[in-house]
Amino acid sequence: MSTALIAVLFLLTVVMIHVTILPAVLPTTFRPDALLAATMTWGALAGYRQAVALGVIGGFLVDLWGDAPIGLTGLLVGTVAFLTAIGEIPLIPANALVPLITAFIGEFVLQGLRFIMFQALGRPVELGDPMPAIILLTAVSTSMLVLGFYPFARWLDRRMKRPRLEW
Amino acid sequence: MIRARAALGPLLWLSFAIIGIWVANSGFARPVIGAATAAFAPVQQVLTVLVQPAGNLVRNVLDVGASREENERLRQAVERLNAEVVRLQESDIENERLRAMLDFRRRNPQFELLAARIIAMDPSSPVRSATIDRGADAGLREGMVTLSPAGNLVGRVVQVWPTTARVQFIVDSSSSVNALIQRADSRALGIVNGLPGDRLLMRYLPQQEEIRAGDIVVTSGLGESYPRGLHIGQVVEVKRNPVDLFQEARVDPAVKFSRLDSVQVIMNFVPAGLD
Repeated sequence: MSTALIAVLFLLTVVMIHVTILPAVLPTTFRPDALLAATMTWGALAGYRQAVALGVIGGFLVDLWGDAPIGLTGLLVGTVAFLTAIGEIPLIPANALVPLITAFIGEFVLQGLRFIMFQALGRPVELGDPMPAIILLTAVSTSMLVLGFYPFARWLDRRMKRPRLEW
Repeated sequence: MIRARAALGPLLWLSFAIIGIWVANSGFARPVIGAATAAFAPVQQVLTVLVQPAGNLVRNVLDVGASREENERLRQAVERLNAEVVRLQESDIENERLRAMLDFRRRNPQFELLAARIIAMDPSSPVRSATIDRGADAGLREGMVTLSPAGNLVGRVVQVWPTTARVQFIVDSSSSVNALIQRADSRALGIVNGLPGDRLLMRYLPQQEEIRAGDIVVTSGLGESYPRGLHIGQVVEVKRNPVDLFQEARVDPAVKFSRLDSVQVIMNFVPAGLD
């Protein structure tokens, strides 16, 4: 199977988990952000450039089924994906903790940017209670989802025979 | 040079993103978006069906927790409402009692009445009496007559302490009340005695008087121990033996003594011999 095809399948799988599987399985007020979790996991393994690409294209696809203007999620997740660059700082050891932390922080950054963008687009979002709790739970569950993605992403990364990053 | 390139990257990224968003949200992209979502619809339907059991499981687990909380909340609400119902029922009974007292006072303005609550009674004792929460401090004296809230005869005060008093019921075996049959064609006089089991027996009724079941029995006022005309009860059975000097009548007391919780004391009637 070609690398490109595997990448496309991975991307589509993430998007389907995000827009179809998680809403069907978790009838809760908060849900993990599968796209962000996958983006941060992949960024930790393959570098921030690929994470940005995954975030932008994945976000674009997610917006096909969401209520945000098409491309907005791509722009925001793509921007947040730059956070994975901290995994390339030599002082920070390379392990699964990096995407865990970046996904947790990334969720807050993403929600903050989304809030600003929605305000700018004239669609104000109520940030009062219980939004902070929902965002916190979303961030925690997104980090947990990273643990689910990480082994698969690691396997995929090896399968695609990418050069290992030495941090 | 390197700094310029570093700054150019994010600017290019932002420009590209904004143009992309504008294009995607313009009318040009609508058919493409429609086709893309339509293409994924079958996959999403299959996925939804496949993950449905997992979704149901999670829903059930969440519902169990929610149901438990709801159950606990409802249980507490039921307890609270039960207590409220009991309180309201008690208020209703109290209201009924006060209404009866008020009604009796309106109909009998000649009596100066003092309401008292029964605070002690031994229902298993053969001596039928009760302790009330008013005593000498409230002006009570031995021999004073007590009535039920509706004005039916209860008995008389037999012992008085500063803050309490003991009332002997007319159904007590040692109680005697001068009474008469309240009927236009029969004013037969007799004496009502208490019998075990909260019953009354009217004795010394003249043989020539025709006493019938259903006749009302009231105090006669003779002997000045009780005011005249207080309701005692109703005749339920007449025992007449031609060889006897008198006939007897079993009387059903107007007061349900086992349910009595308060009385009224007539303060302005002084029985004979008390002064």
